[in-house]
Amino acid sequence: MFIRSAVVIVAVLVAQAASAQQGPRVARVGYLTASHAMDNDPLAGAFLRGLEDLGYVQGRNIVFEKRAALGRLELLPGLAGELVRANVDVIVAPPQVAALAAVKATRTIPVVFMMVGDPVGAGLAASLSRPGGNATGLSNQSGDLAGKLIELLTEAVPTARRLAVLTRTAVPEHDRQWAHAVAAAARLKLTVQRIEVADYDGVDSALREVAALRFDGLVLLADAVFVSRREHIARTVNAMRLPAIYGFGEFTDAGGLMSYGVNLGDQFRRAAHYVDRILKGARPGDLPIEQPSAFEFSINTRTAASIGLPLPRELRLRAHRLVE
Amino acid sequence: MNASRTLYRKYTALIGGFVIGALLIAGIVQAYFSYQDNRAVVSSLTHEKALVAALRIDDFVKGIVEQIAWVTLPLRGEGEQALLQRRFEYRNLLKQVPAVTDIRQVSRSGIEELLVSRTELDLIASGTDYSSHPGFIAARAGALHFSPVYFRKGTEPYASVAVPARLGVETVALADINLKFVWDSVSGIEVGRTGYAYVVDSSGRLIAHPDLKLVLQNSDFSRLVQIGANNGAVLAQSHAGTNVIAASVPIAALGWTVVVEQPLAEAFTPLYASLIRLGILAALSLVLATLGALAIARRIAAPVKALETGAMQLAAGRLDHRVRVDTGDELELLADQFNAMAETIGRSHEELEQKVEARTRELALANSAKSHFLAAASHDLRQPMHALGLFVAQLLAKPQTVEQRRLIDRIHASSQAMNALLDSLLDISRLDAGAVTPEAIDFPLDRLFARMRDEFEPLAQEKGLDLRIASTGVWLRSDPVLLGRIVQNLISNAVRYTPRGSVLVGCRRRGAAVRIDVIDSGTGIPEGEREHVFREFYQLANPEHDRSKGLGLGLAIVERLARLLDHRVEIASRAGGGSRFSITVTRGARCSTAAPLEAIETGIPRDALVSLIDDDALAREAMRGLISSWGCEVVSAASAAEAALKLAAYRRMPDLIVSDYRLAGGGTGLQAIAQLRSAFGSQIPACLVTGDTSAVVLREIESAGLHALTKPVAPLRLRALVSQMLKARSEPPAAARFPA
Repeated sequence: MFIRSAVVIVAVLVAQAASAQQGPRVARVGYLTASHAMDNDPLAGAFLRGLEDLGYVQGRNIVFEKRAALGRLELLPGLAGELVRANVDVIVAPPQVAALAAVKATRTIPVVFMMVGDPVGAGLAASLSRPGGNATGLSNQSGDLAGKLIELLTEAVPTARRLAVLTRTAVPEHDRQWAHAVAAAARLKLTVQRIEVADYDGVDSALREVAALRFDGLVLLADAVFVSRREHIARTVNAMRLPAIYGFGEFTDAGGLMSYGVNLGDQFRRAAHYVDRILKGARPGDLPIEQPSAFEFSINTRTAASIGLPLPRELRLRAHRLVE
Repeated sequence: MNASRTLYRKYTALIGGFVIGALLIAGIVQAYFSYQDNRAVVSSLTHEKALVAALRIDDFVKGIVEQIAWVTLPLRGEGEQALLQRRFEYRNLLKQVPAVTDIRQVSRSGIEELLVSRTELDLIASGTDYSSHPGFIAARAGALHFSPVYFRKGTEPYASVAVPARLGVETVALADINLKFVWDSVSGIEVGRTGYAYVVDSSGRLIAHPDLKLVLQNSDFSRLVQIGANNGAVLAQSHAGTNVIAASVPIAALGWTVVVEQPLAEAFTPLYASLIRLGILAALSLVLATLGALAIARRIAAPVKALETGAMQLAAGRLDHRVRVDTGDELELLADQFNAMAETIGRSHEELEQKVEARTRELALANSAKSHFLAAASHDLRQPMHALGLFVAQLLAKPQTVEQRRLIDRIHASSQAMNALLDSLLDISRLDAGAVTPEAIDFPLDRLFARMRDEFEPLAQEKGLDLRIASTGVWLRSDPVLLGRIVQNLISNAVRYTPRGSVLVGCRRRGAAVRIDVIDSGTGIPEGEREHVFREFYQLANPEHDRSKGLGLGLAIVERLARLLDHRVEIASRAGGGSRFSITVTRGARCSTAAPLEAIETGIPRDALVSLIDDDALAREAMRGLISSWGCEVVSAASAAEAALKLAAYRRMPDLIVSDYRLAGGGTGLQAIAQLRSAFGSQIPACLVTGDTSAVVLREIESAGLHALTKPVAPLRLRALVSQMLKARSEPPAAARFPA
């Protein structure tokens, strides 16, 4: 009798150990971007590292459905629809346009967004602390930084009096940011001119306009379309020998002179936490939207040299990162 | 279940119970102390973690304050120049200390002189008035001041710190600190795998938590009991409702409280693991204890079992069985004594057997002596009876007076009764002595019936009974001699006890068997008597023990013979309504037909020469007289040789030889007949008269093809036989061998 009991106990323990060995089901994550494909993208890499830190391994317990518009924003709704039809567990949509396309395509599949300046204003969430819908993520707060961008540009070019501010057409956040820029310009006794870019292809004509108007400096607000064409933009602007500051750190990596903004790598890594929480059953509407608290100022010193701009020592000391 | 099995179980239960009980108690006590120890360890560990966390946060905040204090040191320059210098320092501070998002320098009068921000334009001399700011007021009084935690945009926890001026500088530094950086510190605190630390402010609002979402949601933790419990760890529920062990440590300078929680599930994991180990060990111990108990019980019970088996073997009569127990204790002594007892019993048993054997031998000897006596008696008693019968017959043939006639009749009747009594007594003695061996052959029943007719018809006529014996073609397989005796007894009884009416004898086929029925119209046998009628000397209608009515041995003989022959005897009877005795016999195969003995008396030819051989002078004389009275020439002799001498004078061979079976000098009638036959060179008809009625002798005579009459010979039967044989002359008569 005791032997039989012992056998039963051992069997139960073995069965429990065996069931503990069974891994969780494989999560399917849709990754929708407006610009780059996921592969070879440092931001996507940061996101993946974040997932790895949380114990996810591609192919074993997580797989990705990757969709990239490569700057062709009109493709986003179709790509979002594909992900919805693929019935993924969660859609990660880094820039605001992608997030909006995803939310438009589904009201049930959770959406995690990044690089969104004002989620509430964009209609992605009811409030930052309780988004309420099927989307949550990380805010950029970039709308508050326009003044700071102008300040940093004027520190680099103290003589500058006329600045161009490159914005996107019909992006409410950019309107608010423009207001910040105007206020800052007034304080600093500068004139600013807004130049709007309609879409991906509109970048070139906007840059031609900037070149034609012979500004002392250029402020380029954070935007997914700009990010997707950052190398082209940086190259064109540098060719004009025009001092410029950009809303994303990626631009200095791409050859842009200076950038100040949210540390996107940090933000993308943080996004992995949202995906993890949602895969573990949390409702996106209950997850507060995180606001950035880390901002990064970076300078591409080589570009500074190439356009013949001597940078003040004090400014260089303020930089978190120098790209050489 | 046998006794030693019970013993085995009892011992197993007893030993197992003690060991298992001890193990269980030890296990439970150990589990209890394990739990207490584990809980104490976890408690102190949790509390220590909380202390460490509080220290870290204290350090963190103090570090920020220190950094800010550094940038309040007096500057060399004055006015704009000094402010630019200060701005440089502030910008550096922001770069070095990520938690500080904005920092202001406020003049002694409460006017903002400098603002450096991460998100906004840096401003010099904005003129904003901070004179009523509580932080400014406190700092002006020389105290470090922390504002209550507030949330920017409703989600980001912030606190402002006012750092008082130092060393004569009368400005105050006001800094906004993003408390999410406290989280960096708090999240760095590891409490096991799933444990965590968090910080709440004086009103119980969450300032820092590894799950930033909770902080962003402005969670209110004031209701949690663990926040107030500052003296070591308590068992509580987390905000999510899980059971945790929690400890809290206040940071006095800030009014905050650091709480460390570890889910019980994890905190007690080592305990559970140890309990499981304990359980497994206990289970193994139980198994071992049980096996041990079984083994010990077996050791104890096995000798008892061996003793029990030994006793059973002894009881079953196997006296050579010995119990083998070598435990070296009282049980072995017991087993030795048991063996000794078995040996003693065995010895006495052997002696007993020897005695029984000896007694059996004695009995066998006595039995054979009895047989010898019976054989002798049968011969020696019959001789005079035989002679008596013959003399009476001769007397009857002579004319007498009425008185003489009456006497002779009486003598005749007495002699006949004596013959019958003698036959019965001898028969039953022989049967009881086992001296009778049946020999089954196939024979026609009618032959037996014919003889019965011969024997009983005169008697029946005399009694005025209607005796009918049916004719039948049935053949039987049985011993004709012994079966004849059964039927004879049954008919004799029927005739004897039926005062008037009829006696019917017949047979019915019953499948492979034949039932011979003897039915009378007599008084019948009452229900209660039926089982007694087969007992010796039991007579139903003879209370006065009239021996002329027999000894009451007839049915006893029938019963014994039927048992010997394996024939079934049944009685059907009604008091006053007659009886039916039936005997069931196996049917036999039909062989060559042997003509039944014709017992019809025919005339005896005159001048027939009869050679009579009998060694007993009296019997010889009686026979000679009887046969001579039938008109035959009788040459009587004591032996074959004498007969041959005497016959020589007649110059012709005898027509018939009648010889006694047992002759003087150990010779037999058979030898005598053979000698005479060979002397005359002819198969002279011959018959034998014998006083020895044993089956062996009768069969020997039959196998020689001779007819035999048993003594005492009824003169009528002898006359019938003689006349038939003389008539047949050369033809040897069929064997009708049953004694009359």
